Amino acid sequence: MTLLIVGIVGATSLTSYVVGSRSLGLPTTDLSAALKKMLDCIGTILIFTVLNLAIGAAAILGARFLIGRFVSLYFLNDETWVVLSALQGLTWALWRQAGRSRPSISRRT
Amino acid sequence: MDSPLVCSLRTARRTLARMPPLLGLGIIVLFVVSAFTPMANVLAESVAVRPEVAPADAIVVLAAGGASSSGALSDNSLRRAIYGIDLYLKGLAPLLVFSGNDPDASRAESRIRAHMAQEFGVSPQGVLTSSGANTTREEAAHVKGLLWPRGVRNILLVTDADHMIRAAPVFTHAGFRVFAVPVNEPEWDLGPGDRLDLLRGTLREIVALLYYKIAGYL
Repeated sequence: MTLLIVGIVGATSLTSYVVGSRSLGLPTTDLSAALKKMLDCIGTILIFTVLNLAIGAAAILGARFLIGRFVSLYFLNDETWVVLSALQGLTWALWRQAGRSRPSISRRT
Repeated sequence: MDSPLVCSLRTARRTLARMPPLLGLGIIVLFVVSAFTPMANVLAESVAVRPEVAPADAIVVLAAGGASSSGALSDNSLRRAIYGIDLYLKGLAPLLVFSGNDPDASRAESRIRAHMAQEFGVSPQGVLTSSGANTTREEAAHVKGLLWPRGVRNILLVTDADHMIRAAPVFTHAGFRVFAVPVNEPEWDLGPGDRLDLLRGTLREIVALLYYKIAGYL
């Protein structure tokens, strides 16, 4: 199973590298910048996930205390949190990256 | 010339800007190590409560996800119930206690399990139900209220291996002598997805155990 996954993902990564560099003419020197941007996106997703789960836990514990009704912490054990946090994190990171890559007004003038 | 405050703010901002890529690298390394090495198994094995099957006063089967509105038990609930029934039929204890979260009559997990036990040949006098508990700690308190007056002190505790990390100390803290009988044991022959699930379950219980300790429940 592990070998199958690693083998197929490795093969498609290599193929996409060859297609990108040879057929599409993408500069290979840009790959490290792309990887850095990808890491930036993943890190931002992690930050949003931790933030959402921490606020969620505080809200659940607060609700238990304030309304005196049981709300389960198992609500945090749901994949939806990660998916929505991923959307937030990706949007935020790409927004930040777009702002960084745009030439500043002073440079343009 | 910028003031020291502006300089330190700028440094802090630069450090913060460098954080996401570092975190991203960290999470990818963690993902690869968790999915493609036996790290999750090693962690699960190191915190697992050792199974101890011995004659006891009662078998306590903990709740697991309740029942659907049509009265179907969750997979975990069914597995735990079957395991408890098996222990009873092997003669390891004269009492079989089903705990359950019973929001209404149609979703009464404990009663559905008790009914199932009787279908398997467990005598009605040998089955007790405990409902109304929302957490493991409340389950321990409810079961104590049910069993303590009957003089039950030694119990075979039935739950999943990851949940046992927390459940066994909670029931021990409640005053029982606990023989842990996890319905599953950490397996070594797992695929990457199963290893990630195992890691998630183990970490969830470790965090919950820490929370119980901080909250003074243990």
